[in-house]
Amino acid sequence: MKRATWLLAAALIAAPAAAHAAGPRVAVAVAAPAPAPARADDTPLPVKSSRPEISLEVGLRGTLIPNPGFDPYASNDFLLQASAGAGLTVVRMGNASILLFAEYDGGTRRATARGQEASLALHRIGGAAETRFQLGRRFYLAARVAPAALHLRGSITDPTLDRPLVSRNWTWGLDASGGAGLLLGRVGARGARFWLTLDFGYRFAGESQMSYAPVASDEDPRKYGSVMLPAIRPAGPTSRMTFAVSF
Amino acid sequence: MRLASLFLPSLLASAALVGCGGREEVWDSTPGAFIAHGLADAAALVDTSGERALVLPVKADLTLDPVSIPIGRGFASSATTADGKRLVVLARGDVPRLLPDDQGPLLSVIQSGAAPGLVFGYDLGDPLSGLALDPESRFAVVYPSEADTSFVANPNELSIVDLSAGPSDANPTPLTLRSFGGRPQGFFFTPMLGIPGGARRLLAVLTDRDVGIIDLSEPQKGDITVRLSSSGEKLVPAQIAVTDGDPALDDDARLAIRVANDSSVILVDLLPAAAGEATKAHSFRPTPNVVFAGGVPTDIAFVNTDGGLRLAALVPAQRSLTLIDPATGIPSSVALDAPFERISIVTGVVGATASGADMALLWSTSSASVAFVALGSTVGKPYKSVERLELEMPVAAVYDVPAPNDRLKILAGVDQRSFYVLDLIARTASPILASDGALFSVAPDGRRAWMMAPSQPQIAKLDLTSLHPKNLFLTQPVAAAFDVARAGGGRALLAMHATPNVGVTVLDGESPALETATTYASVLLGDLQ
Repeated sequence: MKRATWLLAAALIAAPAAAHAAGPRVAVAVAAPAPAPARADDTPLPVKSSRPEISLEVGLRGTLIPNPGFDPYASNDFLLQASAGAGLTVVRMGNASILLFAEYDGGTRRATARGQEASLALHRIGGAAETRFQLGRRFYLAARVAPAALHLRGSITDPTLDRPLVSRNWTWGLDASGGAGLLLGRVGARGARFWLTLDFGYRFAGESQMSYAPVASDEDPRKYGSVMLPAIRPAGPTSRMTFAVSF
Repeated sequence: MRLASLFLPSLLASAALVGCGGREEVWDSTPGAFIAHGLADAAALVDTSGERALVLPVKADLTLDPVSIPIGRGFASSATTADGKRLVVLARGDVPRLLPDDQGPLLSVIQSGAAPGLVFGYDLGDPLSGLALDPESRFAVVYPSEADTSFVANPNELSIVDLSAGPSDANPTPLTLRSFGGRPQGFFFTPMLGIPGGARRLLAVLTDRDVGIIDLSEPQKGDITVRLSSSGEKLVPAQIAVTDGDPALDDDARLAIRVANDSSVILVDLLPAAAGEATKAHSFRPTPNVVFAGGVPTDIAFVNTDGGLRLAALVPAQRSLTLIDPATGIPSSVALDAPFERISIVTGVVGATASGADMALLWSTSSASVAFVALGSTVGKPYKSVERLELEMPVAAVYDVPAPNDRLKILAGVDQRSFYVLDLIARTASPILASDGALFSVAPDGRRAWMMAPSQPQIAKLDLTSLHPKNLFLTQPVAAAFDVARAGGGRALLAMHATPNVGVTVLDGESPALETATTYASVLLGDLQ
């Protein structure tokens, strides 16, 4: 899963160069240049060129995980993650466009579980397909579907051990969301534009077993058994706010 | 930008709203006191704040297969049945009960075996904390303990639970003891007795001034109170012994009640009830008779001598064993060389005398010796019947050893460091020394014993055939150790470490070695539903 995700990301990153080299072969993915209508002000509509538009995003993702498996690590159901993404526009038809993204989200919650420190780090690596509809020069609506690989790493301190109990596991996730983007401004010769985006949706996810044992140590050759904490399904409502630059 | 400035507050607000869901209370709790029990094929941890019992069967590869079983709120007490097959847990429920879905008092019966789980859950009428179990694993008694401090309480209310049957209108059976001012202090379950009305078992309830006798086949009939004094003097029952007498007769079963700090022993004959008596609800009538032991006895037992059935009473102040004819109340005394305090009948191991009389083992917490008394030869020749075995240390406790090594008994010295493996047949006492105060646990298969010290990260296996000790160094002190059967055959030892969330080291019971052991940390974090 991880490998596939990275391949997808690499493909997305490489796509602009490929489009440039292939010329007409990627014409279906790039709207044909058309003369822009005259505007009353200086603010242009979205760029329409032969080069795919690239978007870079950083922001925050908040996810509600109303799952008992999340309880040991947090006093409530909210997980805040840092979020980053890169994508490009692959189709543009009038005011509508389709973008493909590679994304990463990462965040940690910590709490005391029955007197012991417990933490859970959730990493999300995936892609996204987003459809945007431009409602004006400064505003668009979007809908997106984002499959991902989710990596969960739980850690619990045990006062009798010199190292924590750890659980690591992968599962799948699929985000379906809708949102909007607001143009904050543009700079530069190439017309880099800055956006504030916000989306809301729901994450579907597989269940992850949380089997804890101390990490291996050369100084402690004992064989350890696993302690099973409640399995986690990191699914639930999710929202994301990013600052994006596209050019 | 004004619109943009609304995004962040809205995100934070949504985060606050969606994140306000709380978590299960158990994660905010810390485990309560360390409570562990050994079952035949598992150990069990009582997780009081987690409101569950965590049963820990052992798989063939020395790993645990934990099963979490709810026990209700308000843990009060727990115990295992004598056969090691079940764990009985008493919970008081929510006190006070304010909401319709608050839990009431509950007695849970949990089985181990291949599929650990709740067998029966008995709803009780009152939140009581006292729990007594039948040594034959059939009955349980729930009673008010000193810890129960309700605004208004009746200390003589009991619930008798038949653990072999599920809950019903008649099970548990609540009853209130007839009281002359006393309250329950202890319980004694008799074996099956041939008494008027048919063979049945009785429950004797020791209060602080009398004894109530309950027919366990018909507990709803209530108790018959045996008052120990008619003069107003407060005599406190301390111990009960029982005999069925001649199995062919149903009118010679007897109880003997030892009275604390008194030379009296109350013999209670269980005779047929006469028509019109106050006890006519019962088919038998306890008839007490006071006999005197010649001094304050510290232990009593019915024994067979060549002169017939006798009540043996050890009187350490007189250094004697008094044998009382229960039919006539006439005592005879066997002089002893030491102030022996406790008696244990070992006829089943060493065999009866030629005349069919019992053999008794005597021991003392103040004299460094034990004695074997051949009761068959006491009549007329008392001194020749006693064989003493000198030790280095007085004996604080005696542990029985199951077959195939039931010829052995383990004597624990009062210093908690000296142990003796007493061979009842060879009449030898092999010393075993521990460097620190040690706890002792005999494996149910009788082949080995385990010694541990609460402050030492060590445990030792003592092979009861060769008496060879094997010391094992663990990383944590061992609070308790349970030798259990494991799946697929063989034995396992679960060494329990009383760390905050309890650690467990699982060793091969027959060939313990750290190389093959499996260690678990923070077990009480696991398997929470």
